[in-house]
Amino acid sequence: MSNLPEVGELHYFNPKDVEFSYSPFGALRFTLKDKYCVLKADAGCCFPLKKPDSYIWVKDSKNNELGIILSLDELEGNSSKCLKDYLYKRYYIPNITTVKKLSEEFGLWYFETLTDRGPRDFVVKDPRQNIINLGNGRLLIIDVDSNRFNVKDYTTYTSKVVMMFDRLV
Amino acid sequence: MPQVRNLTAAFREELEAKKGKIIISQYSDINREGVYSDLWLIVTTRFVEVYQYKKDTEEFDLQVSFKWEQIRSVKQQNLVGAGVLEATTAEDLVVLLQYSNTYTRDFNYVAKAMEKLVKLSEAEKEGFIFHSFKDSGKQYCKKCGRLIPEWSDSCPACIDKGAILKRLFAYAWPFRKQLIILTILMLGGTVLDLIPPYLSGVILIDKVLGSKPENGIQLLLWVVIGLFVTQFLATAFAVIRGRMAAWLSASLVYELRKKTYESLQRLSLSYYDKRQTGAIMSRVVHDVNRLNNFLIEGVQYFLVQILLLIGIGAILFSINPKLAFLVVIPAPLVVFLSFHFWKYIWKLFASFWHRNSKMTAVLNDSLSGIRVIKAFAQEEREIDRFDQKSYELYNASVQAEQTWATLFPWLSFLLTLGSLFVYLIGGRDVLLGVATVGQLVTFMNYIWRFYGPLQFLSRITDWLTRSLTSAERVFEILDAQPDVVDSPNAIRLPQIKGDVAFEDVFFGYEEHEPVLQNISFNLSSGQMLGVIGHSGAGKSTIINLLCRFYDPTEGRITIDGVDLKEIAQQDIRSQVGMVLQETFLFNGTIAENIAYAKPSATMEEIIRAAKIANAHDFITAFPNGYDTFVGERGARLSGGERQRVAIARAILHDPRILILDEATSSVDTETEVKIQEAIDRLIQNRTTVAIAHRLSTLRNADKLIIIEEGNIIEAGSPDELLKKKGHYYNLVMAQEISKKEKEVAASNEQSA
Repeated sequence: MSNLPEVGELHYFNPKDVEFSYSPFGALRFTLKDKYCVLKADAGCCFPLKKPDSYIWVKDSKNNELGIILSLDELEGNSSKCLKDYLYKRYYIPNITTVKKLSEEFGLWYFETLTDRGPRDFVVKDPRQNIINLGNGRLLIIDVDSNRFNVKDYTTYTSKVVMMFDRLV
Repeated sequence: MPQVRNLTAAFREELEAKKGKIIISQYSDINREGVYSDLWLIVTTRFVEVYQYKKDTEEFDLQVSFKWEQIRSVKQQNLVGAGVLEATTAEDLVVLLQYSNTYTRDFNYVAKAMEKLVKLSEAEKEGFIFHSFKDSGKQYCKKCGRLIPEWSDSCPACIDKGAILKRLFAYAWPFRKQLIILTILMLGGTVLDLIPPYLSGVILIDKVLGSKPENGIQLLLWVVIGLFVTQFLATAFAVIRGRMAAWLSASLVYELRKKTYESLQRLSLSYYDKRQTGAIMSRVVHDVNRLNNFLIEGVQYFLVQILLLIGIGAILFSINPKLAFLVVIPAPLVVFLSFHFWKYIWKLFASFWHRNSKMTAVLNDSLSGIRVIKAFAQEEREIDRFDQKSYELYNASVQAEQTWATLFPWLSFLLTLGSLFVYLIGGRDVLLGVATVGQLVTFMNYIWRFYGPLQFLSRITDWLTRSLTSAERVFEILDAQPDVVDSPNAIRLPQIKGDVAFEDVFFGYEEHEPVLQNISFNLSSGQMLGVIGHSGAGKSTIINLLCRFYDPTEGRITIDGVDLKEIAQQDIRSQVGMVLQETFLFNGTIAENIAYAKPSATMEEIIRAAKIANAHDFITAFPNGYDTFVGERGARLSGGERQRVAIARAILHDPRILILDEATSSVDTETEVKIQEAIDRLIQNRTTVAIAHRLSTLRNADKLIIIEEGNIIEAGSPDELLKKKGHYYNLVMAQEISKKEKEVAASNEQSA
């Protein structure tokens, strides 16, 4: 990796120098101490499925990358809380805690669930494509409207639900 | 279907009294904390506000409130799994509200409407009519509210099974005589099959063996003759029926598949945009076969099973009603067990097939990429990957097969219990002299033939549903109407001059996502237009519209002053030629591919076209020359070779309007020169629309248009645009600098 051109270098922020906050109306503000402040910043995960808390990119309003935060946990109190909250909303992937009912009809899967963001009913078409096995019982489910749902470990659900998922993953 | 709540009438009235006329009221499902809730964006003539509905108090709680004067612009931003509606104010950027992807299209319409409203006065806002998004994009059944699967245009739960069956039999109508004969043969064969157990049971044992020897020999002879005749006839029936079924089956499949394929060829490109190739292929191959099985074998088999059930039942009751009753008692149990057994086994085998396809996919992936695997020395990793999938298949296989091996014998055992009762009660009756040995033996022979149809009937719903679903899928193709059709009074233009004009053309593959906006240009016969723009800017869409693969949503396109929609499609397609970036060659010889658009071309014409396309030399270098097979999709030729064969094909087609889509990209410099030379020859005296990333290839263009996000941002001749020092100038300079840098780097490498 030592022969990579400069353009491939990652610019990491020192966690102590960065500050995230919300504007009064909900826009993300990013401040690099003693250097600059971006009034409408954007942040996202490089590995939203495998490492959602690491390698967080920060961009300005013109989509120019400002740098990368290696780990969310290294940020200081309010900044960490603010950025976590921003990512929580940016990646709207509720965790399904309970599958109340799961049924199949004509290749469509009907879910009645409880998620960590409230109850949600949804339909999944072509489940072989839209229920993605991420390993160790973890699933990513994408419904007909492209809403996403996370299943931490489907083997903890009821035996009927487990059997249905087993057919796919 | 999403549960959309309505604003209460009282609340609406209260709002309108205080905040002005409501123009937009749009439901959203996520609150500021990111939790599922019920929210409303309310846009009035004076305010933009967001309310959250509080279930506990049944009140609408104000979350965000702005006067229109504070807002400068509004836009929608798509996040992952959700989106936000943002407004820019003088002081800040405001997140008005968040919504799940379920409402993305609704808020797309809302954002556009609000962008217009920003510019209007309060009085003008009063007269503004908001056109909300009507169709969710996914069809819901109007009858039952179910989501309609993508593979169907109608709700599978509500399809009129009777109507489909009627239509299905209409396809078999031309073969009705054969089908009637086939049914008679099958029924006759079934009746013949029922005779031997009776002859060898009641007749042989009770009548023949129980009679005196002098009479018995003659009777025995008659029984044997009877058995011989019935078995001979049954065999003859089976042979005739088999031969006829084979012919009927092939004929019906041929007709159905032909009609389906003809229908597919007539359909517009938009039909294919919405469907996967594999799914369409599956309809032509598997669904048609399933229909055939249903019509040729299934219906007769169904009739036979019913006949067997009634026939055997009648025989059994006529021989001994008491024993017959014992046989019928376990029938509901047989149906119940069979139904659940097959349902359970089906799920296990579905899992097995799924894992099998996954393993095959890994195998296909690794074998296709074997060079990359070896180049990066990743053999071990690939072995592990395959092993993992193979092991999953092994587990699924073991589970399915072991379950089958366990349950099937037990099911059979349970079924034999009925016969044990017959043995017990029937045997006792024989001993008591109430029944005969022949009756008992006959019963035992018939019992198994009686339970078989019962098992079939337990699966009949599943069988019928699958067959009708297949029928529906095939009919959907047969019934589909192309989006682009000739008008009833289509104008014939057998000799197009070549004047092309786009007049205020708007177009989007999805109605709410415009790809082209307000595109206007005109081109005189023989002129060349260069279209420049980034990937996704809308360049290829212009070509799609010019070929009339799609119709504009607004504006019009004309050829020789005639609206494209009014010209017979045959005249457009026969006089518009294309050379595309992704050259598609059919599996055949080079000569066949060159002559694709003109099958009547002579060998001399083919060679001349190849010479003009700078393809002749490499073609004649092949051992089989023009008879060289190009392989699937032309895989045996290099990219540059395929490109030149495509140019030769276009030359032979001799179109009046020519389309070049990035024709020289991804080839080396030497090949590019040859292709460019061929193109220069090809475009002579033809109206040409050319798309290119390399601006040098557009040096001969009469006009250029620069497209960005579906809009023309610059237009003019190359000289005019260079003088203007705008976007085109900057692009040319950027490419020049890049070219020089590459030359310097190359000379540095050489000197090093």
